[in-house]
Amino acid sequence: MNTVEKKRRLESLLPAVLIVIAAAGCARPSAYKAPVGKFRDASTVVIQSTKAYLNELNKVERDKYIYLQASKPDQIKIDEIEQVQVFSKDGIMARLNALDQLASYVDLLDQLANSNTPETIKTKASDLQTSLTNLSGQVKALTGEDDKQFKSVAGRVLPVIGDLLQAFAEQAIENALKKAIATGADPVNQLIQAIEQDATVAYERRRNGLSAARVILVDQYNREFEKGKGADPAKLKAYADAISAGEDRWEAFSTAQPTDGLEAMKRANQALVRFAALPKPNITDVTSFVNAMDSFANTANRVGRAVQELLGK
Amino acid sequence: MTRLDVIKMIGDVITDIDVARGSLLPDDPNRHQLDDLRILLDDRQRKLSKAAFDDTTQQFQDSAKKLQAVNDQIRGSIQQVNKIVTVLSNIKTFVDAVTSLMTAIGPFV
Repeated sequence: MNTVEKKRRLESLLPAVLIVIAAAGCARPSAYKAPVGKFRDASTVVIQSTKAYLNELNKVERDKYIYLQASKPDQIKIDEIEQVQVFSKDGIMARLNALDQLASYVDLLDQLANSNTPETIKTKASDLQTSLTNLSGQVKALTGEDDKQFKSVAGRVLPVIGDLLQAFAEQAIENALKKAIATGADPVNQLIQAIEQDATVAYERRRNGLSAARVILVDQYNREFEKGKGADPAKLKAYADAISAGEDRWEAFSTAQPTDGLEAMKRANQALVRFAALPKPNITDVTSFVNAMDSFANTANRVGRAVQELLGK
Repeated sequence: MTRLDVIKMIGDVITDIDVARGSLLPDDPNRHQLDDLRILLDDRQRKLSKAAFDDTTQQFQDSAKKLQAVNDQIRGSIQQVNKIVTVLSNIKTFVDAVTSLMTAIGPFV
């Protein structure tokens, strides 16, 4: 988004926020409406991008092995395919589930800022609480060495978020939003941090795989080229096209770091907490809050676009 | 330094090695040596990716510091295939430093 568009958006959000603040003297739920909505939308993009990485992690490892063997050429063995996987299937499922619950939590925040139907909120909070209990059970059952860190963090923070949701279901909406932001921010950020570590590993292994693929594509071309006059021009052209497409992917990849989005999500979450803690936010506070959400939205959109391009979706 | 910093550092060297590999013809004998070294580093990065260990211990920090020093020394030199002897020697030094680090945290990987 350019500066003019950014300013226009800010101007469009400010009146609604300011009217509420002026009337109430403090940030009531409706003051959060637009920025929390933006937080929800951007979080959804980041969560989906991270899920795409984690989902593909084992495929990246498998493909790297398969194409490396083919390029040598060497025998492909199923037991070797299984050995190269980084996370177990259960480990990946638990992380994807945690991301889904995070998305539901952010969605609930958005509904708290927008909804006038406490019963719906209470039902959703209760449903999410049940899902979190199931997730806790799923995480507890993980046994892999690579799951230890995620298991430790998830085991610590999921009950805290669960307790918070219990409070949601029992109190008035006005208080629930502030309480949710203030109490939930830390455990939510810890959960994001744990997933971010796994996403970094996934990104690095994917970088490794894409880098190896670049060489395989160049080798394919060079093998044909080395035939000299016997080289097939059509094959040379097809291999050159494959190199070109591979280099495009490589270029797009450098901007598709899921950790950028997760870091931005943590920062936006902290901005929510800061804003929620203000008894009487002034114009500067509101501007800073809206800017923080805009900044998060920009990063989320950049990462989301790059990941989509990378995955060809 | 953290486990993730080390994983990223190894990744940077691997991508440099790939640039060197891709700049040599597939049957070049030097290329085969680069291929072998890459396989070693890839295997170590994968093991570090799977491993869970305390990266705040003095043992890990000392080994990581040594690895960082080697990395600083060889940075920018690996893609220069016109100096292939130096390239291979630098990569071997880096692989040795990674192996030392993994030996230091041995029980976990």
